[in-house]
Amino acid sequence: MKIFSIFTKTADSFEGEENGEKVVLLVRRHPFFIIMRVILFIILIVIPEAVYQTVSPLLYTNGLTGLFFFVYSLWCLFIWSGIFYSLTMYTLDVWIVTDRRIIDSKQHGFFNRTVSELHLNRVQDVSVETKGLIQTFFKFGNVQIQTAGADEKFKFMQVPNPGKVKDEIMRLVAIKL
Amino acid sequence: MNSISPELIFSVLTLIVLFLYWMFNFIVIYHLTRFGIGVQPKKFAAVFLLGAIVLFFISSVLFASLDLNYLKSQLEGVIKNSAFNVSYSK
Repeated sequence: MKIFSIFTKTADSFEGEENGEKVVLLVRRHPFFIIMRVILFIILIVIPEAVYQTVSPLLYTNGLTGLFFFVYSLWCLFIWSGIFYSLTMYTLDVWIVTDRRIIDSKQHGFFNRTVSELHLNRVQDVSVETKGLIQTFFKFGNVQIQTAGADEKFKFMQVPNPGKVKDEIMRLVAIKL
Repeated sequence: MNSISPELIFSVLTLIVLFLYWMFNFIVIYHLTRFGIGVQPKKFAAVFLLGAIVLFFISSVLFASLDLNYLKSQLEGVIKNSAFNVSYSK
């Protein structure tokens, strides 16, 4: 069915894509961050269950078991929304490397978004930074792009396999030159 | 002058909360499907919608099974025995 076609394979098209522009890399933060957040939410779901184990006789004698489960279901609804709010922010925080430019799309909240772009011919130098035990162990880090003429740097934060990202950007820059 | 019944206040508050909840859900799904790049955000949106509907249904069933009159009497009992019930003696 046509309506379900969005769940099957689609091109990595994005808002503001130029004619004939091809997406080479689509980079998001390492899943480590979102997994940690989801684990935190799961702990929050389990807490009322632990509370129930301790106060269940009291709830039963006062006839409040039904109320407890209703409040617990509301708590689960709240947590569910929280998980997907975090997932939305994680998914929309993205770096796009095309065969023409690099786009940094940052989502700070539902209605707060920053999009900046850098043309490949302005790229001067690309460096990789991996700091600490966690970043080394899970193979993620920052990729810094030095632009020509300006002091400001374009930064990919906590992306997986930063070395490969750097190599790909340098390859595209070499083709462009 | 007619006073506003607690039932009416409760109903209005419930409607406002429901509206805000589904509005929030709509915004999440809209962002994922409209601005998400690739297949993954669309899948997240579908899972979120499905989960939200199921959890909302469970909450509605649990709310319907509540004995509100019993809870009201329990609440009145709590208020009667609490510091909110202040009586003055002459």
